[in-house]
Amino acid sequence: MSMLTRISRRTYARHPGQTILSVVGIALGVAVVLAIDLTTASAERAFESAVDSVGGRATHEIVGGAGEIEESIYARLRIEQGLRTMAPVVRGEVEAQVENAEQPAGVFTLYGIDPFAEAPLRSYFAFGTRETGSEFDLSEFLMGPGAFAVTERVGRRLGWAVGDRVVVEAQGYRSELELVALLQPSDPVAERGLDRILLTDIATAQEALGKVGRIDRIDVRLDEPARVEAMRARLPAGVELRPLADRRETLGELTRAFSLNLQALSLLTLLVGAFLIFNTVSFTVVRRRRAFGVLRALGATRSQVFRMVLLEAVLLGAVGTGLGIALGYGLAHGLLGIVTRTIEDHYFTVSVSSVPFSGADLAFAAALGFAVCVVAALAPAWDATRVPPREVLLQTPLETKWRRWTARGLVLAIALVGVGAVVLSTSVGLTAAYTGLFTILFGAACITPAVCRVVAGAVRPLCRVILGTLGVHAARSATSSLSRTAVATAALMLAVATTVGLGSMISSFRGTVDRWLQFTLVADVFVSPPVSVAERFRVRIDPEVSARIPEVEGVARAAAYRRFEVAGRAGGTDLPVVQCVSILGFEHVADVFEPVQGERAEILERALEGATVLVSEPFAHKHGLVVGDRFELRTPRGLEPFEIGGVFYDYASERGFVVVPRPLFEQHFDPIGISAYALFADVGVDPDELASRVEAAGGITQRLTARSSRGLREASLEVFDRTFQVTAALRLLCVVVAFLGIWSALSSLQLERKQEVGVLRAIGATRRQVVTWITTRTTILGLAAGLFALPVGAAVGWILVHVINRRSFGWSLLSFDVPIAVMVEALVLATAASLLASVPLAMRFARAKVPEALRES
Amino acid sequence: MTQSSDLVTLEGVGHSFREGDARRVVLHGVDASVARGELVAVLGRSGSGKSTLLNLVGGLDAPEEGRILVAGQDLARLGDTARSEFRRRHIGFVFQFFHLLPTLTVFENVLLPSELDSRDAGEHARELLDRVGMSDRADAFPDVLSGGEQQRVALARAIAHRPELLLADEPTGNLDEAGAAVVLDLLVELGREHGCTVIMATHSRDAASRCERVVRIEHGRLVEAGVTVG
Repeated sequence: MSMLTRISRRTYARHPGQTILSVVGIALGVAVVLAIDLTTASAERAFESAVDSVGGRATHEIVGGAGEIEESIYARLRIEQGLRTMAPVVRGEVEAQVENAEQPAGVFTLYGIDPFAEAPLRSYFAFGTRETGSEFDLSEFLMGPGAFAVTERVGRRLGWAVGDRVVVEAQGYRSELELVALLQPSDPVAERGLDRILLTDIATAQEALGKVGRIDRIDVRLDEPARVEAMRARLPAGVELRPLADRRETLGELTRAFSLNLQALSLLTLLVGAFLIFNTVSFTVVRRRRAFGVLRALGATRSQVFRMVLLEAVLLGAVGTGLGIALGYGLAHGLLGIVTRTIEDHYFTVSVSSVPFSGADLAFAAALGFAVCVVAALAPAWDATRVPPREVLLQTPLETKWRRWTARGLVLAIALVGVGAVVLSTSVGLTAAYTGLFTILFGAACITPAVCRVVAGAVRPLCRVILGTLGVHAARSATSSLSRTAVATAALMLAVATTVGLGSMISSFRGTVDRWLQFTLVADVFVSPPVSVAERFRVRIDPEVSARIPEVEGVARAAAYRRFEVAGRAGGTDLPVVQCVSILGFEHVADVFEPVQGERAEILERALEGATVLVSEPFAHKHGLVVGDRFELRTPRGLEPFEIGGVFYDYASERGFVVVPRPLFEQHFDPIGISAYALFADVGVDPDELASRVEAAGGITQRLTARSSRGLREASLEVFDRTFQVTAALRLLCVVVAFLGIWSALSSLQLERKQEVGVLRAIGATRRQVVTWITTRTTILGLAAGLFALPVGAAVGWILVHVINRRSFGWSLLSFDVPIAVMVEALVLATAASLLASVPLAMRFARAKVPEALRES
Repeated sequence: MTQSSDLVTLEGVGHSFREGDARRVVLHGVDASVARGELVAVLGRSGSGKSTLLNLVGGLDAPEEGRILVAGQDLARLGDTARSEFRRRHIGFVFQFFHLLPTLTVFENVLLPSELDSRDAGEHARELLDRVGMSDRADAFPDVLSGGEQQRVALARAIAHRPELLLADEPTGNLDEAGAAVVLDLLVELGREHGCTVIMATHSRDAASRCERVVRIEHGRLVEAGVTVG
């Protein structure tokens, strides 16, 4: 081992506490980024594998104009045109429960297939049963009415056995099915993909899902490009052949902004972690300036010193990253529930029971951890090479240098903030927006030392009044070692600013959604079959039940919503799924549509005449459309153009949707059933009572969920709060990392200032006075970080609301505020973090032996 | 507090330090006394235990064996807070490396010991700074002072609270000849003016020659003018 390596090793071995804190800091940073990456990727992979498993060897799919296809079209294609490599699919979400069981088994996707047509597409029809182990033909089993199969893994998990009778409820329809087989797919990926799937035949699925006579899609296997074009030419109007890859892309598109935002927030934690590493490495450099001076005087070259410091950082990074990967894997399991719940609330149903970990994930985390450590160590390593031997005996020149840097930091900060602002205002993408935000945050971090000076100067008179000269000493010493404390204080400021920013974003969002719900929920009762968000545009109320609803006693008037999904085309891009709604009784709910710009009366008049459609703000934003633009929707007669008459506020769906006025719907689309009703109660009728009566109208035919506007508002806000649980968790982790940072910095600093403790004790300061001195000093730093975090956090919040959110989801918020509670919380958080970090250290140092403390230098 | 003629009494004092797995005995069975107003020099090689003796007398450390009475008070029997309070009322320290607090001005450094005891001694602090010739630098910070100037401020700080006992650990050890002479003069004069008992650890024979009594630490014991007194 070389002498330089020995110096490095002993330096870190002598201060194991500091070493552990910095390793934990980088580990937490890496862990958070990796956990978010693994969690969102797991959910996406699980969904993709479900898509792939049920897709089998299919290459394309045929879909209908309004989301469904008449069963007769399939028959015509298969029999009349002789197309054999295709299979129909009926699918929908069901809640399943074994007969007489106390708890439902959960939500599944019921897949209805035609066993005779499946062979060329899917292979899971020839697996053995658990009982016999012999090969069998699943088609025989699925022939019986109400028969279904699941994988053996699902059966094991739920304790289901062949012969069990299971009640499924889909879109309010209840049916009883019998488990006839347990599948044993040989491919583990396919097995995972089938984790939340119940397989049954077409007829059973149609009945269970209320889709008699209709199918959702036809899976097709077309190996040669020529056959694709040939098939396209033979398809009737109103249906479309599209590659299966589109479905996966649509999925990716759905969650892209959500994933990117989570990743960016996790990177913020890593940024705080990077400050921690920078702090640790620069601190070890600062502490050893004398040693470096001696080494240089003895003939060590600059590159030797540089390599020595960098190697230390790399080793710290290696240990921290290794620990971070293990922690991240564990954390991913913890976050999985929250993230998948959010995805299910807003996007699609997904079953994620495990967090698969690939070599790519490992490489990503390792590269990130190392990169952060090396980048964070570059400046201190460079600084170490610049130590002139003559400076070795004095600490003062370094602090003087730092004071100069503080002044330069102001200039750099202004420049960085300016660059960030320019990037934010001139760019369009989300990545550029985050680059701008991070640049501004970095600029703010550079200004932190100057803020510390200002705050310490401002509170000094107060300290003098309360604590006398000891207070002045505390206030001055708070900023006398900025070379040691500035980075940790900046990290704390960043973390607290993040909490302020996220807090104000959540508050602004909540305020906006609440306000929007108030003018949106104009009706008294909202009724639809019980379905998830993902199924909202596919659900239908049974025609007989639907006819009964407006007649229920106490209903004054009703607006009926026909929701449907069609393919479309906007700005030269194919849109696989466009969600649309057409409303019967539009005039009753017209107030709901608050235009982003333009005269409402004029816009609605044109829409009611059938001249234009209305689109939600996220839809317009996502596809770059404005009022007056045209886009196409696939109707039974093919792609047809629609003009946008107005863009309205909507916060229900980030995909956005299109309102097709009744005249346009009737002109372009075939009739479809009603998906939901908005009901207005007669004067004096209690909305909750009316909701109960409406639910009863479903009878035994179809279960309905009716909610009063108050109930729906509460439920919506509950989903909203759940959505931000991940953000809250990330916010907390960010603060934990910053807390470690300030703790590490303060404990390192105390090691340096131990001699002062000795002096104070020698001239008669009691332990309590020493503790007061140390805690006052650190509280001033925390206060400075907290105070500065307020404007920085408000700016972060503003950018999140008006730039990032807008680019991610297309929502413009109706209000922006930084709640007093968030500001108070931030100040308390920053000062409490500093105080908490310093108290144990202060106690320890107050108890230190005075002669030993005096010998420290 | 008793008013005997001796301010400091050491009875069978022994102390050692851990060095790796072994213990190094620094003081062993030391018996000695220092009369009120006496100016005593403690000579000895580096590591002989001079500083340890001062730390024990000043209550910064407690002896492993025996007892030390200062103004009749056994400091080892006091709790930490009481010991601190005793120190800030009765004892002043001067260190080899000055140990001024870098974030306090010259004036504030001198003021601090009295303030720790909740006494307003601003006027006295200014008089002392004037006495040590540092009144014109009252608002300066220690980092701009020379070593001699810093030690003069440290001396003013040490007697600012009017201690009975002044302990000086190598007060001239880090100064040039001229600076050392000034500090030594001040130490002797201020000690007399304030009626302080002064115990000065030094390895400078010149410094020792200014004292009324010289003792030496040899092999853990105190010897006086070649005669063992303990």
